[in-house]
Amino acid sequence: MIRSVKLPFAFDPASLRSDLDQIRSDEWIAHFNKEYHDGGWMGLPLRSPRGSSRNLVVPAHAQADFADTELLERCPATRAVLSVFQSPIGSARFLKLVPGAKIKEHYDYELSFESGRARLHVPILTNSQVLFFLDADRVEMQPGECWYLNFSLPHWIENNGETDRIHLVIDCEINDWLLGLLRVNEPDEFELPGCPSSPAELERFRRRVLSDRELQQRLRQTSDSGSFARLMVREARARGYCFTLEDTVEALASAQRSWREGWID
Amino acid sequence: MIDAGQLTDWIPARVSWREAEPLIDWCYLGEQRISEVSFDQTLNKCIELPFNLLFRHQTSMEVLRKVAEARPGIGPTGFIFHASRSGSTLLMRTLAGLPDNLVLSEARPIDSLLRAKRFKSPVTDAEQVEWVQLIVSNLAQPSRGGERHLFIKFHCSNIFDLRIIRLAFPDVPCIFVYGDPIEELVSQMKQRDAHMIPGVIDPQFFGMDHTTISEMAPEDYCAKVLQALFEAALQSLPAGGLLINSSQLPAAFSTISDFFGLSWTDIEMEVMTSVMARPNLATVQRDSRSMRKHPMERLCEAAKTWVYPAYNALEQARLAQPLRSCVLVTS
Repeated sequence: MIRSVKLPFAFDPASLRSDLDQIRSDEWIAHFNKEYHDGGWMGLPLRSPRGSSRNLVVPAHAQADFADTELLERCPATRAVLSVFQSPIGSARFLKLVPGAKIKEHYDYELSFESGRARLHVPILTNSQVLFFLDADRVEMQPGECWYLNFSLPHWIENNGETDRIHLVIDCEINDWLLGLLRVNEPDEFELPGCPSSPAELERFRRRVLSDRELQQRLRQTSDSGSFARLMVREARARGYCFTLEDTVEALASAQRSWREGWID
Repeated sequence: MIDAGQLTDWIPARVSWREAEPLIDWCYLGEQRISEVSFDQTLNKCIELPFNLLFRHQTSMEVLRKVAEARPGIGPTGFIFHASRSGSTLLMRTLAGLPDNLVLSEARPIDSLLRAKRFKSPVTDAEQVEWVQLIVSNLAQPSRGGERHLFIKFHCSNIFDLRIIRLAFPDVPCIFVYGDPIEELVSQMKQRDAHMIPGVIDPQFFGMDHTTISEMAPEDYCAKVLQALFEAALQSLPAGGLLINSSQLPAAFSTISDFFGLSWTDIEMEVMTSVMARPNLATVQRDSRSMRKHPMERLCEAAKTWVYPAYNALEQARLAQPLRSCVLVTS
């Protein structure tokens, strides 16, 4: 499985920013996933079903008849970016996260290359206080870069800076051209060098963590137990501790049991 | 040994025992505020973070002593004892309405240490008093909001531990909130608190033994528990305590504030009374509709036999309290 890939493009952020100047502040539409954000997440459709300028929703089925919106006509630099892609483009949107806005940890069902969908991000405006965590790992994206991100993994975003974070977000159909860019033939990021099962080694790592406040903070970056287990294994391997993902999953389950039993004292 | 710095933003969550020595399990709280409704709720929220399942410090009381020296926490402003379905939750929510107030409700580690003597016999008063002081000090850490007052609502069976609590905190005012026995029993019949389930707490505390409780009707058991709680309050509280009948709430809130030595500004009072006025909260405790669902005859009989003598005595003591409890604000 792929977590994220930086694609080999360098777009000009300045010209994309001048596209944004064509947009009035009252044109932005609040993002429909209201239960995940606190009101500071909004967007604008550049390509949408039948070219509607007011529809931010992206239907999962590829048959939706995506067409350019009126807005895209006002944004020449964005049109130029889209023309670079040699795979059919479905939805394209500007998505904005205002200063102070947070999107809670969540995952988007089957929104991954492995499920046949590829969502790409091109940052236009961002700042160093934007936190984007994907599967408990921070991903730092710079303006003009282009990233594939596996959104079926738990992710959360906070804009703790003082400026907007605005990305161009493009959904592509997967074809050979895109497959080549995604480097799918490289080793699976989730496959780690072999370690035998070792609850004792996990316990050693656990003690290590309890004496390292920085590492503790790192391990608190996710409330998703799957992401947490993978993060545990990654952080442990990086420090020379050898145990398996299953050891971690079992330790979590056993801690959960003993926590529940602890209610009776 | 682990130092106080490593426990910044962690709270004592549970007590386990190595023979007669208490060990404290710590849980990372971070910037979360402790829930005024129940301490358990706070912990359940904490363990939504998988980190908190796998990583808990476990320390001796010696570490609590070190932390208490480094960060003594907020001294308690008032203690709340109660019969469970008596509006005490509403009272705690009201107090928690102000960011100035840190409110601990039924904090399990305090209860575990208070109950130590009941189960771990070789404990001296002096030891237990220190444990209780230390656990309160460690729990009373102001969050980033910077609370100044601390209110503790104990488990309802902790009224039996008032002697130790008084030894630990001789100057902290205590109130006992109780309500109409029938309402309490109806509410318990609907859904029982742990202490109302036979065997969860040693029945000897409530003046019963294991043989008799197995034959007892649930109404009788609950009524006898309530009787025991009322009698304990009656014996230990009038000396320096304040009795509050839940029927006096919310008007008696200002009496309680005065008793705790607090005076609120008009704005603070407005904030807190707005919490109290929220209808869904006010009615949760006193749901008279549910009365019709339970066969009342047996329950009234149990209340009359076991609870009312103690209840009436409490009421007499309450009405005989100095003027402060009679100066009620009419709302």
